[in-house]
Amino acid sequence: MTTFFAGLYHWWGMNPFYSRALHNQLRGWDVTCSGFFGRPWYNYAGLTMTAVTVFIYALQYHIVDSSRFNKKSDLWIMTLVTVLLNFFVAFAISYNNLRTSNYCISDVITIGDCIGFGFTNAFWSVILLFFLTSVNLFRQLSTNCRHTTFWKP
Amino acid sequence: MYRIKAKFNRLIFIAIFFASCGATDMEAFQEQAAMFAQKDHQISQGNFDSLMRMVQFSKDGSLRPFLTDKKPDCQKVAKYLVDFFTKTHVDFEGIEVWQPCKIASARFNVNVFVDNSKSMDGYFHDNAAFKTTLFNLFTDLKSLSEVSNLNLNFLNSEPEPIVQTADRDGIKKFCEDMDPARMPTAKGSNRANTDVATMLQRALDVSGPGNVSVFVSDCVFSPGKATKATIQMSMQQSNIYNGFRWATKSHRELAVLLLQCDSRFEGKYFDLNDNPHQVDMDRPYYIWFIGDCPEVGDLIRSQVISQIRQGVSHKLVLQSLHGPFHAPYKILQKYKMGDFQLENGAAGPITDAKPADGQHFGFEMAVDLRQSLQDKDYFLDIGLFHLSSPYSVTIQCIPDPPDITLVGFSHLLRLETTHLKEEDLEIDIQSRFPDWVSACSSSDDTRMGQDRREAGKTFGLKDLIQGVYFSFYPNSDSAKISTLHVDIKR
Repeated sequence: MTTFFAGLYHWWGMNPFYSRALHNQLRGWDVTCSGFFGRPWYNYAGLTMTAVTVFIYALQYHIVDSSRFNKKSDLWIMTLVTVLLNFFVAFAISYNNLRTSNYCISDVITIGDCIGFGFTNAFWSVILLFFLTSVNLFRQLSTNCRHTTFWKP
Repeated sequence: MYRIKAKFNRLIFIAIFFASCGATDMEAFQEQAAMFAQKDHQISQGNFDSLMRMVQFSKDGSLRPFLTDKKPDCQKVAKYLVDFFTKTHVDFEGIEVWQPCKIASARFNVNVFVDNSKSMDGYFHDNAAFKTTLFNLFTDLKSLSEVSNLNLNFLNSEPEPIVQTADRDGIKKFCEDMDPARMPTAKGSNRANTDVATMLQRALDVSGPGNVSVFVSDCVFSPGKATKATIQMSMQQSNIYNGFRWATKSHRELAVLLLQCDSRFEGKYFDLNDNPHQVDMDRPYYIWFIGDCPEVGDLIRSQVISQIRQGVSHKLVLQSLHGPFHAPYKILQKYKMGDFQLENGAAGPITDAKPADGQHFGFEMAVDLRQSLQDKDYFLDIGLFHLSSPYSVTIQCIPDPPDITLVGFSHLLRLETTHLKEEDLEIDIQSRFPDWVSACSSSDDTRMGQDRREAGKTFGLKDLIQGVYFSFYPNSDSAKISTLHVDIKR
């Protein structure tokens, strides 16, 4: 699971928005700089992102499921909430480690890295929400929002 | 409304389920350790045993770094806990971790043999540091918990037992007997000549499991007027080589610690032609510790050696090496010339290695060489390091207390090259014949007393030490202390 999330967030090495040092730390590079047996922060961020995004989707489509809250503009509001929540979660995880120096001291991690990680987490949460709202199979279970997607008004 | 609430509850349950996934055994281990520390501000033996059981029964592999040969390694766990509490939280400052695995040292006897041939009389006067140094040394040896009995003997052609199971008074009596006027002479002994090979053999014969020999002598070969010393030197060397070579074969773990010390010498010095010279100067003498590696290691690690009263001029440690030992190491990312990654952890391999400016590549690694009986400073000689590729090597000792990332390691190696290639870089750390022996050896001591340069030298020392050295390391392969392999991939 760590390998999957690590590849996802680090764009499979192509174009990361944060440094390799933060990437290693999130994979679990421990404080003694000895190996990947620290906490797998990528797992926590990835699973939290998935859970939050699924919940936000379910909130609009299946829990509230109201005709007064099924516009495309309402979906964009929920998307904004998803983005902000997921950015905050990812930023908080990485910034907390930075602030408490809970990482290998020979690595250099900056606030810019934390912001980059937050942005990446937010980005993937939007992609996931796009997917959930696009697939007909899930939307059909809703009563009032079954036609609400990013692609239609 | 009920439908909404039911759906909501199901979603909450699913969210919690997913949130609980991903917790590793390592995380549980850290949390358990933190709980113990918060409760008692220490990790007691019981706490430690609980944590060891977690390591033993771990299933997800995250606690694998604490295993050695698939079994929980208490040293690794203790080391990690010390690192963890030092680094993680200021509230855990000063947490005491119960130190496990203290192997109770097997007790052993120390049999002392002091050369009492006539050539040693110059050391035996009351003003000489020699006597006070030995007096303190014997007292310190006796006070070690690992030492059962201290037996004190004189030695020339045959051992002369003076005090067995020496106590405070016995040590004092023996040191008082170090007086030419009072020197007891056993039947068959021959104080006139000094046959170092025979004396070393006697000391070697007595050493073994449970017995460490301490041999004290000026190591000046003096066969008497009838025999020319220079001619007999090579035979001496062969005798010594034969005796120690045989012992290294039959003792699986023989070790020798040789110390060169200095003392005032007032009296007659007999040169290679057995002619006396009246001298009054500082002269070297030698203390040999001969025994099994664990016991000689105990003596080295104790304060006995460092407390030798007048200090030690030079030291030589020889240790039976049945193949190079595996020295733990880790590659550091603090220093990089060029760039590389450590995809599988600090033990390597080095991946994605790229040189800086298309040419220069370098990295640093921390190595633990403490399995060797040698001092840390011994390994600062880059001549000991032989690499399979053209890398330059610099080495330094890791200072105490070490950086959190360097706990458990003794030296830092920095390797640089202009010929980076994919390879399994092999680093051999090999013993070599010490330079100080040649510098302190004399081949002609007939001008002793007139030539001040001879004062600090010992006639025939190089031949003597070579006999011992090459019995331990007859070829370069046998002199390998450790071999490190670093896999480098581009």
